[in-house]
Amino acid sequence: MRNDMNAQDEYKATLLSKLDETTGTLDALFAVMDSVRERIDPAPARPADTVDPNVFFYKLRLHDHMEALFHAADGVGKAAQEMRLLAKRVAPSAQCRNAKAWGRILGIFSEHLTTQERMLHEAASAACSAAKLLAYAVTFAEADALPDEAAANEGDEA
Amino acid sequence: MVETENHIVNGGVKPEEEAEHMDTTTQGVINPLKVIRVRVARDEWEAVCQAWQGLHEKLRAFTHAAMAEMKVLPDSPNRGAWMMFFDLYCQQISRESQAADEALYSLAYSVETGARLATFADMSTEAEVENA
Repeated sequence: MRNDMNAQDEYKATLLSKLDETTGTLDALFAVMDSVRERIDPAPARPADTVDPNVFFYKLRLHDHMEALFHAADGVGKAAQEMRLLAKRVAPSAQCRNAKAWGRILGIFSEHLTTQERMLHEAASAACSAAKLLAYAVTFAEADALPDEAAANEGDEA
Repeated sequence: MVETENHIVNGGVKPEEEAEHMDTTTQGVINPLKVIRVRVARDEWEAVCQAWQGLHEKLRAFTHAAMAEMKVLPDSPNRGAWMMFFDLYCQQISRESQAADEALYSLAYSVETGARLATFADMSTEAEVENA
């Protein structure tokens, strides 16, 4: 019984080693195929970049305007939150008949306010993102339009 | 926190104007006009409006500055295409701004509705007590 087990283990180990060898051979074959394909039909060389991707960090156009915009959007978010928190405390007096049932309705109202506040926040953020896209596009267009030498100089100055 | 005898938050509709569109044939015990005359979170609402006005002005200033930048854009073979994209982005900013405007008024209406509900609940109890 033990001999059978040993024989099975050995057989399994041999199979795994053969599989490794085959995988290695296939990898080598694929590498050769790739190099042959490259020689037959070489991929076109990527044209040299004219815009440094770091231009968005060191020379972003409208940067000050964007800062002011995001600051203002933050202000809207905070003011809306204040209003929501205050309105959330709206409740009929404790002596009100059906106070619990009214409480349920006003609970949903409170959730609704939270959703709406989030919507306002998202909408203001979306407006700011669109502005950011515009600033990036202006920066890209300007950098792309500069002659190569001027662009290189600007990069050095930064 | 809920104050009566005053026009509520906003929405642009005055209580008198709103009352004109009201069904007066089924008014019941509680006069809806009294429910309408509730004020809640008015200072907070004004703060939101001011903040929003500030953001609106910043957006407008941003768009103007972007336009100015575009005009002095160095000559480029793709200038026409870029101008198209700039125009699209400006329109997008305007639309997003309108969406935020709508969201803001929607929030104001909700605040107003909640205040009216709470007032109505209180008034309905008072009316029952008076009738008894």
